[in-house]
Amino acid sequence: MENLLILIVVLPLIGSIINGTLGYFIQKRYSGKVNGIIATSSISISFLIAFYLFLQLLSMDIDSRRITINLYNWIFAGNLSVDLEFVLDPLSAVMVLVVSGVGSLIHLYSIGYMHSDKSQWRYFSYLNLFAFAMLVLVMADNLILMFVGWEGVGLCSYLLIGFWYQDLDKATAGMKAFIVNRVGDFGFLLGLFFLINGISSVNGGEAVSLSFSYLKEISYSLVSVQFYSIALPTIIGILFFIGATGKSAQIPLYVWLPDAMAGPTPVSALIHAATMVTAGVYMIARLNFIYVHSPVALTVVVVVGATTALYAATMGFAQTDIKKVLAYSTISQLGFMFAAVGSAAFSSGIFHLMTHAFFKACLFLGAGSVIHAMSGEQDIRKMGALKGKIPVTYYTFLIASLAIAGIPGFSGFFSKDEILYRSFMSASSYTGTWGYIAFTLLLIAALCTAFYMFRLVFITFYGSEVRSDKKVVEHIHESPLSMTSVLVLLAFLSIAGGYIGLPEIFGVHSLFDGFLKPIFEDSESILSIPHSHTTEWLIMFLSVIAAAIGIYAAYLIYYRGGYEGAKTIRTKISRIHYVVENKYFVDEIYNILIVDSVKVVSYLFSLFDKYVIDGIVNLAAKITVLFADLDGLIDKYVVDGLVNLVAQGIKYIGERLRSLQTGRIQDYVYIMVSGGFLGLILIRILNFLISK
Amino acid sequence: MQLTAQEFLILAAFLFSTGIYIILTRQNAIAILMGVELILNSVNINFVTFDRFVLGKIDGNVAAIINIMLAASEVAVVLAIVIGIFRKTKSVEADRLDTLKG
Amino acid sequence: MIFKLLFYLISLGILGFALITAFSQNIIRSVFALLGVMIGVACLYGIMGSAYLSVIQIMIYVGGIMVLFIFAVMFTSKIQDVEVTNRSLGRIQAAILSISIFLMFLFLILFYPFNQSVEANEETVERIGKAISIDYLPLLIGIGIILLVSLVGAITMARVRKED
Repeated sequence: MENLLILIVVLPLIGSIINGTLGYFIQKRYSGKVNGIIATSSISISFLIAFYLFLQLLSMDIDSRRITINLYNWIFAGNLSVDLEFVLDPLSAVMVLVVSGVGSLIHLYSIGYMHSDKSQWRYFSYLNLFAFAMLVLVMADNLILMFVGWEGVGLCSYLLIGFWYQDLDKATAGMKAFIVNRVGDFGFLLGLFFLINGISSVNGGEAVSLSFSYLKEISYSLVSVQFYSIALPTIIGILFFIGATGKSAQIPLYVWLPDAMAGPTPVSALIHAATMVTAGVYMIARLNFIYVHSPVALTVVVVVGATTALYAATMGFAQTDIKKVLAYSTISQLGFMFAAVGSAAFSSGIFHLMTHAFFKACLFLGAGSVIHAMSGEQDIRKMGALKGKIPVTYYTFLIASLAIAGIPGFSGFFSKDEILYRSFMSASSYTGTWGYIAFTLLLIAALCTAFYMFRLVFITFYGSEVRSDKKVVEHIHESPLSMTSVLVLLAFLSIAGGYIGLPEIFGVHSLFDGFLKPIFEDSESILSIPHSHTTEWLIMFLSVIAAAIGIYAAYLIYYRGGYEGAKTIRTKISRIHYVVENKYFVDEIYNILIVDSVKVVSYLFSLFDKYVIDGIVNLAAKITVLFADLDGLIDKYVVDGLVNLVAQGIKYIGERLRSLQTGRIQDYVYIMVSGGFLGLILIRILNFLISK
Repeated sequence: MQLTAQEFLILAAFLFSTGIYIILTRQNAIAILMGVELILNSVNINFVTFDRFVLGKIDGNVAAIINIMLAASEVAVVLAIVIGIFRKTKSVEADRLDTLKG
Repeated sequence: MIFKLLFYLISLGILGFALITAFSQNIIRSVFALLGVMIGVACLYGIMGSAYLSVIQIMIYVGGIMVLFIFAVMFTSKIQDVEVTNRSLGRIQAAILSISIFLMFLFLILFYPFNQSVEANEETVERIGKAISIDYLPLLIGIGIILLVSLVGAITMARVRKED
């Protein structure tokens, strides 16, 4: 049974490899549909296996619901020992089902959506690769393996956002996503280092493993470890959260998510709605036993999450691209999730994660359907009156919007309401005033959510006519079955999915919470958060009111007033509108602060390189040339001079001697005679001397 | 008083030196040849003197005769050469005959 | 006694003629002076008792060689000797050399004793003939060959070439 775990993870990988190597030929020979079928089947089978194992888990004893498999001992460095280990426990089971389930639906949808693209094989290969990485992330049994999946989904996000890389803007968006992600990952890595260091200082020299069970045991002793007089859980809690802000698009590292809409719509649905962006929430939920030891870190998470929720929601007011509205909506909803886990309501956060996956995927795929119908148009100002023309899309979109707005009866209501309640209650436990502030922010954000979603609905689907040219209007048609079936299924889940998490005030035990209890109960008991049914009803009431107000305001402005009415209002608040429309100029600020300063530094370095280093090199070259010239001179004047001198000398001597050769015999005679004569004299003298 | 060898020998020496002087000094090729003749004669005198006064043999005379013969043939050849040169270069100046120069 | 006187007379003549040969500007005068030297030397041979040799001297030297000289001078017909111009070898050097040679000889002659026997060593033609034919026969033949060769050579060189 454990071996099936590997299968879940590996099947998408195999699908990715098949599409990556043979996919081009398969697409050419048959059609892109075959690639899609290969990809969809691999992940669907993973889902079926996961579901089977989920049922197995249910049949197990509640306290021992764990299926693990250890492949081999991967890293052993010093006293750090990391295994390649996968686990299926309630938390990972929920994640796996969401990822593979929603993932399979999106794979199916993609077959229809991408039917005219040239590189479908590449798309499906990347999509499967992403599924593989995400599954590794959620099924990893230790922090390092999870980080592998963490990085893997970041990579696939880059590949898929920049899928149409021939367009420079799209490719740049991919790069932005990856780089911003990386900044967050830096925080994550720092947290890891502190963690390892801290563990080795309390575990007495034995092997450090980063498996979650081990970490849970040791988390109690980690409280006593301090770096720079800050408790270790706080340090790593905040550092890991920084990683989460990058991956899950919270303040300040959210800027990549809106740009990521440059990728194909199914990608936005899968990665940036249902799965990858939720990795941060999952991570905190997984490490709950560390976070509960640090109220400070939890408070930070709550505040940042709540602030992001409201901040992103306001931006949804002024966006005109249908996908961008949904992108900011995702950021906002993620803020809700972080507020949940920050209030130690871990299962609530995961619950909202799941319901959000349903309705956000439905919304994105519905948007894809709209774009498909509008022949690629994404600007809502050019839409309108689509209600009658693409009914299936309209109704599913409407259902999902009601869910996200938090209308009772739909899944979003239950999950969102629980978050509001828990954040409020956490104030009296450890978050203090921050908790109340967070609660207020979240409540307003809920209102805004309802408002902007229905603004979107009214502008896109209502109105008297479609605000585009005739050619586009004629082409409007409902999407094929492969797409609409998925929409319907997701819409259904957006309603029904909430009922497994009914809160206790309705008199039933939340199935969801019960399922996840073994994971979280130990941690939740550390922080004593009070419960009050009265407060819960009150807050539920408040959230419904907020949602109703939001929808009504949108109705007034956009339905009654119509599109023109909206425009007049815009001119009235034109200045504020301008700022909101431009996303509070955050991207521009980042650009100046960070990108430009990096550019300045690199320019300075390039100057250094050009003048100093090149200067030195040139100087060396000049010196060499100088020496060469000098040598040349020496060679020319000294060496050659010597040689010439010798030659001259010989010539001179020769000429002098030559003058002896007069050619006149008398001179020769003279020399001979005098020579002989002198010789005789010499002999005479020598004889004389010798005889002496 | 008797004649002594030294007197003859001094005379021969004088003739020899004069012959050297003539060879070195004169410009005319024929004059140079005359100097050679003078030397040859002084040698002859030497031969005969030694023969007569010191040795008492006859070989010196024989040598002198042979010498005269050689001188004769040598002069013949040399003068033929000089005439040939004169035909070629129209001069017998020793200074002109310097093609061995250099 | 008389021989000594005669000797000095004749040697004076020889010296004088030799000096004329050396220093005369006129080539004919030099030639005739040389002629005088030859005759004087012949007389000297006579004084020394070598009559045959003196006759040979007259016959060959005077009668042959000097005549040849005169003919050569006539052929090259430059009566006036050109004055010395631009000579690297000056008269001074030549004079120095010749004087030093003379002095060397002088030194040798005067300071080296050699046994002299004053009795007259009669030379007879018979003795000369015997010596040449018996002792020095190869020399004689050699001389003959030399004379032949030089004759042929001289004629070859001196003949008038016909230009074609």
